[in-house]
Amino acid sequence: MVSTEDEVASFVAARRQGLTRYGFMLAGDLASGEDLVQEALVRCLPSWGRLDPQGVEAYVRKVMARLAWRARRHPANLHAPLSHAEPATPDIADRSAELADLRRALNSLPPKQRVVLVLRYWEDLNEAEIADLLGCRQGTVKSRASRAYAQLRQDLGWTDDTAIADDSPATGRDVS
Amino acid sequence: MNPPEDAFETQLRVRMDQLADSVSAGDGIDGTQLYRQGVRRKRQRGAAASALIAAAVALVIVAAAIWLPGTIDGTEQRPSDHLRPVEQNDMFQCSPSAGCFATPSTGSLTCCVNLQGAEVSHAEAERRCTAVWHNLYGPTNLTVELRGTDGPWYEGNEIDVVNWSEFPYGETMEDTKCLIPAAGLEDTVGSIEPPLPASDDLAGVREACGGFLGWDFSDWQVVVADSQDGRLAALLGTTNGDLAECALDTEHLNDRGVLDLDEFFADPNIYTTHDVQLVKAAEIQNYAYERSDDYRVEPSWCQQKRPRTGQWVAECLGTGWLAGPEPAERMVITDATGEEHEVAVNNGWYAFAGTVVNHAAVPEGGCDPIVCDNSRGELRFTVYAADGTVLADYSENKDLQPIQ
Repeated sequence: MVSTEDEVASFVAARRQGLTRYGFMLAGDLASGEDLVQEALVRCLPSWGRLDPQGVEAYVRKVMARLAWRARRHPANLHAPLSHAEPATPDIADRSAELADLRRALNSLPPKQRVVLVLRYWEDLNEAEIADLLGCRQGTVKSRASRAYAQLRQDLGWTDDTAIADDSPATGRDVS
Repeated sequence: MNPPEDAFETQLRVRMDQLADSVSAGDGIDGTQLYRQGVRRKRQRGAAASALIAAAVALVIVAAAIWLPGTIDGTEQRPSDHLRPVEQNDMFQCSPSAGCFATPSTGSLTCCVNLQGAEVSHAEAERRCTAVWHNLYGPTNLTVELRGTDGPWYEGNEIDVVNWSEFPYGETMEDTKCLIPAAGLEDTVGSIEPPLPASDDLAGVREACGGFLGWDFSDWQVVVADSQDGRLAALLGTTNGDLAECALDTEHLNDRGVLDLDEFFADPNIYTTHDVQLVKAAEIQNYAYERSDDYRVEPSWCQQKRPRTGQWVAECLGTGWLAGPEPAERMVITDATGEEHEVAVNNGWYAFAGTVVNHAAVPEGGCDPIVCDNSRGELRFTVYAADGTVLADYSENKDLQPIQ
């Protein structure tokens, strides 16, 4: 008989890449992203046997999003203060200044604002879907997203007069 | 699918995809390791919820960053202005120093607080941390030992310990810390004795929060406190800007009055639990001012209540700072049912342990008509100054431009 631990380990082995990437986007750095994955898995353990096998990943992702939503402080702000020129972190290859700027700007947002932006613009969810996912009001999503987006534009210097070079096509998102 | 968007939003999607794709995730670790790390972390977190405090981070002192939180006793100095990071000096570790790290590029501030009481011997530190372990996890023959031998040791210090992790479940945790409790409080750490004190029982609030952390708060001021529904939310402060965020709940307790870890591990709906966290007032204030100066409720610490049938509890309100140009002294929340909730506010600091109702989501099986029918369900916040002037009156959507 396959134990729950074995089932979980097998699931993680198959879905690790996508889950960790999701955690990274929600939390802001790879270590915190892995924490999110781990925490979500542990929370899912009691109900693992009752989950629809086809819906396990969606459930784990939902738990991850809610955990990130409830984070008190952005973990990256504690682990890697941005004022100290971020060293070449092993968890991410900042191939461009734009990506480094984006990461820095995202990490400077409060956790709730960051999570909403990631779900809105990376996961491509609408406000109602995000509210359902996070278990909060749609108005909350709207207000957080609005403030976060405005702050991000300001931090990145994206003004109406700014020409933004779309130097690369949108890449297919790896959700594997 | 979201509606059409502006060029910046399109660009943001592209950049986020690129950022995500730049991560080399999960190399060097297999699923079993990840799972086991998760279990270990969960156990550690259970311990952390019982008065272990996160490891220190490298910090930089913010000179002149002393701020005196107001008190409901009315005996303390009031702030003249909110704090900003003003100077950046050399790096230092949290222990034995305490202070704040300023990030000039973002304006953010990260701080740590160090308690320091009477000096204790190596053996006494181990005895007290062993007593804490037994209080948290039940009587066993386990003995907690200090990692390393460097002293001196003081009450309130976080120390590295070993053997702490000899959980009934097996694995050994590394780098675990124990806060050396004050004398006589080692048997109360992590425990809650219902009923919780009333909001105006300041001595009781100090005792309940101090007993949980293992620290004597008798010379700390209760800045603001709210006790209702079997929960306590309180902020206690010192004149040098230290704050203790206290959140206690009479649910999920075992027969020793401590967090029932079996229930905690088994119930995915328990997202936050009892805790007393030490923070700098400056950090919370700066955090609030970074993002809002319009008296928005942005709790720095809160408890989440599980939904009851037909109702959803609103977002965590907990404790926090109402950032604005004038000190706030009162706040009323009107929830989806029309019920008004008076929130304890003192000089901008608030605490709320109550339950507010909205209809953010309809629970499976339907929901109470009073919550769902013909109501927009928004929480309305009305913030007052001491003279009754309305400083802010808003629902969450007010003055916010929706994203098209």
